[in-house]
Amino acid sequence: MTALLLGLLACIAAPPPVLPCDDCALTDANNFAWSSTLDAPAWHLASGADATIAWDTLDRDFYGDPFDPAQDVGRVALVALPGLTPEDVADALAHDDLAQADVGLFVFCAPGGATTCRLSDFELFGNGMAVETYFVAGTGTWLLALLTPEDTIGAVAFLIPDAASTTTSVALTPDDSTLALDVDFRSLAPLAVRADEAFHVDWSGLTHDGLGNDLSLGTLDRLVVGRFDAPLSEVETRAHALTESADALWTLDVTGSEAELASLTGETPFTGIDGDATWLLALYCSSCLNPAPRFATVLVTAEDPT
Amino acid sequence: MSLLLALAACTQPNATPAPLTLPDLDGACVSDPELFTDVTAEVTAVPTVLRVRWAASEPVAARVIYAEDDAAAVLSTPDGATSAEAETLLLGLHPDRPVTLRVAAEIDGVQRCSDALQVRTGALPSDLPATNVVVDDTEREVRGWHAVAVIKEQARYATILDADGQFVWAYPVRDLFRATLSRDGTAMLANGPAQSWDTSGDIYRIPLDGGEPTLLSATGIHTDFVELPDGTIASLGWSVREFADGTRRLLGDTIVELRPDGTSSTVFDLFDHVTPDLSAEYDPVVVGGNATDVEDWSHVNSIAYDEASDAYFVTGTYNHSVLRVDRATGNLSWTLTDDPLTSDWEMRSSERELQMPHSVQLVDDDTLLVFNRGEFGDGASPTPCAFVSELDLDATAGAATPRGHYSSDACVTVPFLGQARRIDRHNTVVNWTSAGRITQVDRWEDTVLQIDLGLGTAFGSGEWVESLY
Repeated sequence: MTALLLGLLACIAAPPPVLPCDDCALTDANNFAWSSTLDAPAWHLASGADATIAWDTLDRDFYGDPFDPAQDVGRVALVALPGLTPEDVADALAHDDLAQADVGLFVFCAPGGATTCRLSDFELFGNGMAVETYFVAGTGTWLLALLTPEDTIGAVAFLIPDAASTTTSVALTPDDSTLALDVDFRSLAPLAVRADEAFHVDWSGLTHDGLGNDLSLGTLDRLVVGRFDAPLSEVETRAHALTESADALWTLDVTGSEAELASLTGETPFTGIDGDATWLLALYCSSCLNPAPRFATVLVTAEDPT
Repeated sequence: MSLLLALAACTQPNATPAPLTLPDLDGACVSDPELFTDVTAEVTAVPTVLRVRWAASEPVAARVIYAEDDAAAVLSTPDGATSAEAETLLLGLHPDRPVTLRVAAEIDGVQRCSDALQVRTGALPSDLPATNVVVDDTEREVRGWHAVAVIKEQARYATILDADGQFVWAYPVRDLFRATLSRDGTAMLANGPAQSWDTSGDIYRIPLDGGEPTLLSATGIHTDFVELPDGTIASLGWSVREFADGTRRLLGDTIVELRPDGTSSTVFDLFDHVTPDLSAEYDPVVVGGNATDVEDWSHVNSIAYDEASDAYFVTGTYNHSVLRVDRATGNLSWTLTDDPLTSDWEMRSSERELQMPHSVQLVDDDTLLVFNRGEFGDGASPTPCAFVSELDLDATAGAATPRGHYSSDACVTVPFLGQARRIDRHNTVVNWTSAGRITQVDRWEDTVLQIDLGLGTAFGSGEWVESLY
């Protein structure tokens, strides 16, 4: 009993030593937290009339990154969301919880290198959208999304068919739509591992993603470890493009809920982390609409107690 | 040592995985390792399905009891045939979970079982969509399994969802619209519809262990099918006929029976029973993204079969109808619409009960349950709310009277397929297909289960079953 009390006192008196793990169980406490705010314009357009959507001057995406309006748009999605306001849609997109049941209709335009689409160009499986029938007042908010060739979203706008409007053109310009990310890598419990050793991770205990939404483990299909030669505070600002901004990157396609990190592949074999750089481990869902990692944590080195 | 333990207890950041807590199946039977020998279990080509083999020291009718780690429910296969060795498949398991199992048999009134065996299921395809169970009233829902097609832009799967909306089975099938368990419970049936009236379509019979599928094929079969008691598949089919001295070609619908021996025949052709209204122009049929000169006339989208009366029921969007086809003769028995000029029944309703119907089920011999998409465009709503009609048929009076009408609390638009099925005396499963939603509603029309998919994913057609065995 005395020893137990002493042990408990030791807990209170000083922070416990962080022990490195070999078989590392990832928990929600290890996960980063993030939130986002989507700001996009709402265009009131003439009800039942064809209209032109142009993005020829759009040289930055909604993250503020460089954007080629001709090359970076693979197709344009137009989605009717009958029961939702633009604010509802922006909120649902930011929280990654837009449901298919919210959708009334969806159609696509393939601009083929052009920087405009007309409403009458949109179709689905070869069936065109009769603008005078479908794009009419009372059909709620229409989400317009410019999709990159990789099918990620580059910019968005909201279109609202309005009987009082005579507008028949939309011009998407830089800064019209912005997605502001608030990423927190500093409140999480870092994962402590031995320096210069690969290790094993098990994420079967994860229940929520970084947004706080329920996590479906079966959708996680890629594990990434990145080394950043920049402080964590700077890495946070590039959170929407972690893999692109890493100074070294190792990846592994995964199934199930565990992996040996010695199996990671990169330009060099993965031999563990060091204490000189910022290291992140992330789990991605490549089939999810939102490209953010579902899980990301900071890796730190620790030593065994002597 | 105690100090070290205490220190360890307050050092949490990098705990190693907890040892598995496996369910205690001991209470289910008396362990008798001498009765059951050589018990093995392996993950099959569908990684959530386990194949268990065993040998017994004497012939027994055995089953397998099994449970996932920490699961509340212990599952069981049915008793097999009396044999000294056998194998069976364990179904209904979740991906990537440890499973404990025992082979068990009742001998002289005592349940005897093998030693416990522990196996881990594998992962299902990672591009299966996440499901979101929005409502789950376990006391009021009828718990069962949803065999259903899942449709994404890049992939389609035949799947099984459990009562909690979690995938327990999946198999990729290109272009499928429907997935349903075979009547004998050994396979998933799925369709690969023809791309046009003159190309071949397929019905796949996929063993539940993911083994090589077998195919039944026929020209022009499309969209929906139903299995008959003898294993014959009745599928919707297409046919094209010329009208107006060959100046117009119209696409109509047929019923094609594909027999287990590989033969097939058209047993019903709507053109033989209904004359198209040539004063109307119909939308062009689109094949491979290109409009053709063939007009899409009848646009039948669902088929059901009633074993008691040996009759087919199909839904036609050309005149918002339900059609009954007598299987023995191939005759059109009757047509039900809201329009007295085309209906063989008097529809006693002030509302339109049939609007783009997309599924029909005969319930209790004299009631029809119909899923209606609602009418799109051309003066109607661009985004209509889908709904389910329940119609009593009074053969003596020749009248159809609405008994119930169900629509979701929030308007749900279903531009593609749609399905309603009564699953017991009161509860109904509604599959809002392209809206990525399945609900179960009870007798008071309250939603007692709601499974949603995220943006960009949809359900195809399927069937609810109470048991996987």
